[in-house]
Amino acid sequence: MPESFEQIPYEHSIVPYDPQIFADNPEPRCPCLLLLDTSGSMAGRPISELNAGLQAFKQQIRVDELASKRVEVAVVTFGPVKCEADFQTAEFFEPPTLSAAGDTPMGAAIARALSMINERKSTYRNNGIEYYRPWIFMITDGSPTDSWRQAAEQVHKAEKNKQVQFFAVGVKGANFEILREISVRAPLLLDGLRFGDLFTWLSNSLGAISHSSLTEEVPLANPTAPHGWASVG
Amino acid sequence: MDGHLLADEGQFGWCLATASVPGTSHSRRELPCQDAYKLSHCAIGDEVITVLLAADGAGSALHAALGSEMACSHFLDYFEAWCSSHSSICEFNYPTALQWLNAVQEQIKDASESIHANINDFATTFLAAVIGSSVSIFIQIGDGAIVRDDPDDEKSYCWIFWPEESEYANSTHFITDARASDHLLYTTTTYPVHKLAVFTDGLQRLALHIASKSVHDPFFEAMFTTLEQHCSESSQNSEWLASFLSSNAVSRRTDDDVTLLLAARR
Repeated sequence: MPESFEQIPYEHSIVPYDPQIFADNPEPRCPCLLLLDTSGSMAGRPISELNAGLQAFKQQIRVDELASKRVEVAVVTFGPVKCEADFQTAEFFEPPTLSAAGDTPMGAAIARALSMINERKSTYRNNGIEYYRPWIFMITDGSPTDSWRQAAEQVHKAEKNKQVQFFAVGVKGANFEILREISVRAPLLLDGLRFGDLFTWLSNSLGAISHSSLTEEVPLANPTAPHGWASVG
Repeated sequence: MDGHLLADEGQFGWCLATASVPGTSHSRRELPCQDAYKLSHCAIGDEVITVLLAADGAGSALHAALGSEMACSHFLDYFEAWCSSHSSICEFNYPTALQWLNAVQEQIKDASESIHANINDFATTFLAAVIGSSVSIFIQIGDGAIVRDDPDDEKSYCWIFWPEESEYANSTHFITDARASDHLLYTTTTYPVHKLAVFTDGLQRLALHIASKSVHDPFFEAMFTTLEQHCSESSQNSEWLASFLSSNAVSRRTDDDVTLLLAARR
């Protein structure tokens, strides 16, 4: 934002200008864990579109100064379950380049995600940092190859206690029957490989939340609107 | 300024300033300023009571601006009526505040029904500082804060209620909540208040240290110093304050509506 060259009255005559008059509080954090299926079936165009989407996400979120300081991103892939990037503020987030291979241990991945979220909250609390309700944003194109019911129960419990918001997006081929059992809110079917639009929506949504001292319920754009990047799965 | 409560308007021995500016994120979302405030004086017995009120309508509530305005107006009317039927501010107590809460909820509920809306569409926080010559009363529901001069240290300031701990950064309580009475904060003091600030949550992170739960003294020092410099002007010349709250220095640090009321005894 270009600085105005006009003399701003406050800074010159009204209140003695001194940045020390403002308290120095750390920014509240808006943590989002991206839980990404990198199983063999994602090989080829799907994984390359996903990688492109992640890069676009990084660019978009940085456009918003406040959001880049408040939104925190972590990346966990499966399978095998791997933490590709631990939580860091969007300002510094460098998306890993993902490659596809392996199976789909969704249950273990979700358990890992929930545990990382809890750890992050602990870290915030120990450092006196406020935070918004964390998101887990899962993208998958398949079916779990491990047992997932316990993880589903954990998701339901965490949602009920307002500890997390869990979103599931299925790429064509994903097992929606199971996704509907895991996710409290309707899983979405991605339109083709429109990861770019998905991540635009995600960066806008996180941006809106990170600006919200306004309200707890931030209205999010509807991904399933006409021309939207998803439909209800 | 709503000074209709006393015939002889004036400052009654106070330097006063009030200002409220809409947040930049409000302008971006085409929302009006949803904060409301009032500053007034009431006579009771031999005393003149100064009343400072602020309310912050919930961003997502359809009629938030109306809700915050109603909260302030209603309290002022209620308090005025209460003053005319009592002889000392010392008679005001927690049950009185609870009665007010019930009454304002009724009024908002009626208003909401008349336009086929829901009481939650008027959700708002509420802060009140009722300052007498020695006794003062503080009432609050939701976030924002009231800060006064520290009776033990004239160079310091202290908060009246610490913004209630809730897990998430963007959740608070409203006077329209079904369980609002569970979150009605009420306290009194007999240490005469010399300086007072009331502000909605947009200023919290600039004026308070969150981690240490303390007041950032330099902020209030700057505010009250400037207030005193403007004291000889008309009773509520708050242009300097509005200008400050609209400045880059503030809007860079918060994009919420900011409302600040200042009072310093002369």
